[in-house]
Amino acid sequence: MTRMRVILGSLIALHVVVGLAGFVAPYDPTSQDRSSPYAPPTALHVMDTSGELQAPFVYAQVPDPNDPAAYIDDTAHRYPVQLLANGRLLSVDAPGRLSLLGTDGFGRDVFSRVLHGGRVSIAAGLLATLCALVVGMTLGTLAGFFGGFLDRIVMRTADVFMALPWIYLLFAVRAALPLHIDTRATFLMLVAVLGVVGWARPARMIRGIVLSARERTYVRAAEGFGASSSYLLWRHILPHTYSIVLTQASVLIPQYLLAEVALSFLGLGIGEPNASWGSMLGTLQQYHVLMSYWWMLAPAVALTTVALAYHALTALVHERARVLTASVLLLLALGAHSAAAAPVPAARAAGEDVLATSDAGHYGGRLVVALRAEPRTLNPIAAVDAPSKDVIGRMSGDLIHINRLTQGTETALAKSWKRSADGLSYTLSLRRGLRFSDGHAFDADDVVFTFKVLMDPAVGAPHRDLLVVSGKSIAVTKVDAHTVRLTLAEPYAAAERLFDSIAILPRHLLERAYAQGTLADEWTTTTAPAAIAGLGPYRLKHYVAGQELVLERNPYYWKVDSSKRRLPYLDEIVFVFAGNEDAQVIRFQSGDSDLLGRTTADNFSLLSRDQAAKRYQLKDLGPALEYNFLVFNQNDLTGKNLPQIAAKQRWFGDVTFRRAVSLAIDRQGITRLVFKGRAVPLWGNVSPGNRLWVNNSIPRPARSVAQARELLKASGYAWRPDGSLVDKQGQRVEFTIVTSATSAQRTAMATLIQADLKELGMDVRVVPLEFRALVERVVETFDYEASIQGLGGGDADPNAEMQVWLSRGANHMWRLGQKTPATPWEAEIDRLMQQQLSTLDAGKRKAMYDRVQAIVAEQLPFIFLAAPHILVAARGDLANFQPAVLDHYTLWNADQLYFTPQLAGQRR
Amino acid sequence: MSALRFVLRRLAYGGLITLGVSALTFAMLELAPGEFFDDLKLDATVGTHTVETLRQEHGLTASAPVRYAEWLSAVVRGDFGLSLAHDTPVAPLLWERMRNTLVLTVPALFITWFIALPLGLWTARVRGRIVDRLCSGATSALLALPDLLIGLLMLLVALKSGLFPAGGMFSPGAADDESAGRIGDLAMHAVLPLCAVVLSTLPAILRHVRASAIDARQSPAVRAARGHGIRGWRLNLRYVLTIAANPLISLAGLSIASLLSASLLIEVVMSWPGLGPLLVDALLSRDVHVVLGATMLATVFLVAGNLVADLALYAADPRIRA
Repeated sequence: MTRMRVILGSLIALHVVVGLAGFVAPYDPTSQDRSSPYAPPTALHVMDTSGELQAPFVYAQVPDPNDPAAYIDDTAHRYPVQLLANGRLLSVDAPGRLSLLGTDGFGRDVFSRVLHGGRVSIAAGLLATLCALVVGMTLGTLAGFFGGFLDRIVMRTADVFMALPWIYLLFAVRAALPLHIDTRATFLMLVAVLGVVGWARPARMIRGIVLSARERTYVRAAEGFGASSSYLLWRHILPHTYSIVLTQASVLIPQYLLAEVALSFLGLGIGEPNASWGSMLGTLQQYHVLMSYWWMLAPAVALTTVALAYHALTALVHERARVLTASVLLLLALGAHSAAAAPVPAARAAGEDVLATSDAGHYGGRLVVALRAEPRTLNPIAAVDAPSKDVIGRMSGDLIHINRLTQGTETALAKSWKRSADGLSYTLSLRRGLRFSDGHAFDADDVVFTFKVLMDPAVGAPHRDLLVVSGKSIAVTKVDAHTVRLTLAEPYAAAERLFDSIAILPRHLLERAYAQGTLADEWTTTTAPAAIAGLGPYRLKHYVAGQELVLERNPYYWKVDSSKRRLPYLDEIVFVFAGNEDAQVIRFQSGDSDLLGRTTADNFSLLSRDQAAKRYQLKDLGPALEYNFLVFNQNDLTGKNLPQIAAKQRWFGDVTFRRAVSLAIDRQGITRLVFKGRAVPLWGNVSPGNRLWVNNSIPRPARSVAQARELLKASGYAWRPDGSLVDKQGQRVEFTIVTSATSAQRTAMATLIQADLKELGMDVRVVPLEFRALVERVVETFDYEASIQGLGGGDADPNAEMQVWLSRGANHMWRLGQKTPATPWEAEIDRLMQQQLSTLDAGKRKAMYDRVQAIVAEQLPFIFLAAPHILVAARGDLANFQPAVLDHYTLWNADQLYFTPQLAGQRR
Repeated sequence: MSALRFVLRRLAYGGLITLGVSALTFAMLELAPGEFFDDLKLDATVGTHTVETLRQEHGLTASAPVRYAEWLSAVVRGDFGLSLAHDTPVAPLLWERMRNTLVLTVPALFITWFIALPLGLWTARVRGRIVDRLCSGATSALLALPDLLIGLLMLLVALKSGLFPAGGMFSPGAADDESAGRIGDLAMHAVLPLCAVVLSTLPAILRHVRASAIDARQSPAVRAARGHGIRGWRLNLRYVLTIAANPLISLAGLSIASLLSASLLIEVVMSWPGLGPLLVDALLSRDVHVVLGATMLATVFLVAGNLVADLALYAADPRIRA
């Protein structure tokens, strides 16, 4: 009996502590302390610096000057721990901090979050288990007891239920619910659905027991005496099932507690800033967190404790008490718990071969690169995903190439080009004597064929739109076997930049497929290597599905190095598939792969810890070309049934509102906390990484909540006594920011912004959504209020951004689908962008694009946040490693990479 | 009713179920927002016309019933469609990945039951003592760790110890080595994922074995046997296990049914080229034919596993046969 008391007692104590989280926890679960992200647990001291005993106290923690990620105690002041002060059980005065379990990435106290999160998580776990067991028990018992037809129907339905991918139903439910419903309610609803559809497994097991119990002699006897079914079930059959039900419960409760982790990964979890054990464990799944911050394992410990407690309870009930008691207790528990174009160079008269710009290297070696996903295809016409483009880029050659380091153009397959005076035609002179990787000769026919195929609308090549200038395609004609002429309908600035990464296709291999209309289906990953040919430094050796894709040196590659030796140096490049970012990092750390392209700041810091020992090359290349921003929904919503969002567009459409939001955002906090300082804050659409085009004179106002308040006041907003912001009509200002659930960085930015805007009195919710659900809302249904997105990262030249800034462009995200510009400034941007498209003078283009940037920074259709740095890593002995901020960051000069001799040849 | 007729009838039902599952999966895919080519809509280099052409080429513009009917008629002819992501036929893709997954899950199944049965029986016998409590604690801790975390912890082990490769199925370049060295390479790569799968499936099964064994030990038959002086393993095998068998057989059937899904997330984390990464990718990117094909495959395993379990139940539990 004492054991029962102990277990029951501890279970009740657990629930009480979690239930009184508001009192027990020293801090609010959502209050951020941006000066102490990922701080370890505060040490409690009883002895001060002079050796005297004191009441328990803490020191303030300050960042360690020697190690930016660590903290040291400031022994100058002691902050005693106070009992029952400030309405909380334990607390200390600021700036001392009592974080018994440390802090998370936003400086929020983990202990408080574990307590508050427990409410949601335990409720979710119990709710789902209850749903599963109630339905499972009912159907399983009915099936087993009545047998025959009912049994067959129920069991077959159970099979169906177990086989279906319920994830889609959950997506559908999420999509059907409006965004402004409380995220906790949505989350519990989803969890309940998850529980209900999980009835099949318990039902199966219960049915087996019931089948057997039904045939017991005493049951038969009772039946013979005229007992009704319900009597038999209640009195004789059901007691046999209790054991199974309880064991199932002890297994299902932690399972459903954990289901949250998967749900958050899929964008169905409880949103920020709410705490829940599942979402906290979700952050632990990032490799760098697991390696560096052990205190983040706290939710796992809490989960284990709860799982153990419920297991003990079920075991106990199993032995002694009645199921009724157990169910009552469980229900009570449940009830008690109610988150550039560069100037055109003069045609260069170079030799037939281009001299490499780097040192002469050594032949041999195999470079292993871990890709995040498998390439979908090896067909340049059909490739849209990054891994495919990565691989194809090494196998194919282009006419004119953009040098990633200088960001200017250089000759490639075309040894020179001339632009006509009116800018309407380009004559390219091709190198002679070149061969494809299968030995077949290359000439102008291949170029003409490539362009014909690319611009044929029936083929549907994605790059087609790049080559259709102002609605008219480029005409490509063959002048002679080694000269082609391209004719444009209108002058197009920096047209030669278009040719970069347009892979020249071998006519001799693809002509027939084109004639038959099956070109887009050729060259899949399973095609035989002999059927694929290109002009790049490597050619396909073999592909093993799901494991690796191996490229070998192309013996016919045309480039030579400064000593006239044929490139490339490497024998092979092996692409292996790592599955996700963390796996990529782990493979690199373990030596399985030699190159790590584009990684996050956290992983970069992790790698820099072993840098000396393992002799990596770690390079921080400075800001990328991409820009992250907050966009408000200013789409025309007539005809769509979205009255609430349409009402809020009163605020979103007001430029003063947007300026106030922009002033209140803590961009420094974002760079520091989300990108560990490896990013630059942005106030315009061109990042400083785009040296040739950035407008450095746009205003960059520092964060000022006071100024933001002034702006809002001037625009007619006011504050209620409780601090919340209301507009002229008296409506509370609140909205939702949606982000992609898979992008931890964008969700983190949204969380920071949420806290920033709270200081203005705005109530902001963050809802991470599954990627495709997000795209549908932002691009099709317009059923969203605000979103964090990122664009850019293509070419440095402004022409790459046409679709974003043209008012009828497909990426004009804040107002899609307009036929004419809705505002005068959008009309002006239209004019300027069109003009710079056909102006050939580089200086004039820069002036025009500068003006565009100034307008954008002033009108704020996007509220720009930050541009992350490009961070890459490679093995220490990889020479000629010259990463750049343009795609492909690390392999753009794959033909010049080599291993320094003393380690080449020592492969595993 | 003869066993043969029973099996034939179940197989017929199995076919019906597979059909039903495919229809329902298709319906749910339709309900869920978004479709495969949506990620192109946020790409500034791809125009709307191209997206429409791509959709048309791959047959995504027809209405839902038409598309389902087309798919069904193709399946009847043996053509399971084309994967939108890989541009290759679905059937060989699934077949190969399934083989890789089974390499992991079948040994894991055997190992798990091999450990769970004796351990469960033993802890039922020494119930309440320190060993039992420790086991209980360990299973609770394992239940509280998500699959993904277990996988990551295994990767950490690989990294820190340097004894095992950190992911993948073969070393780079070793995939075409024909000799016996290939098996060794495969084995080295499989050790950690195998451990992860076993650790993730063991706790639940152990709990059930232990609970059933405790129940069985309290039954009159076992009490009588003990009274007769039968003890130790003879007691366990002949009496306890046979009485406890009913739910365990259902559980074994469920184990077989989940042969394809048990290692899903672990394969993703540890880069094992099985069904896991393929399915997760296909599910999230709405690669319709792969999802339909994989669901049908899972249904086949499910039906088979349940059939085996039901047959075993009938064979093992005379109370049902009566």
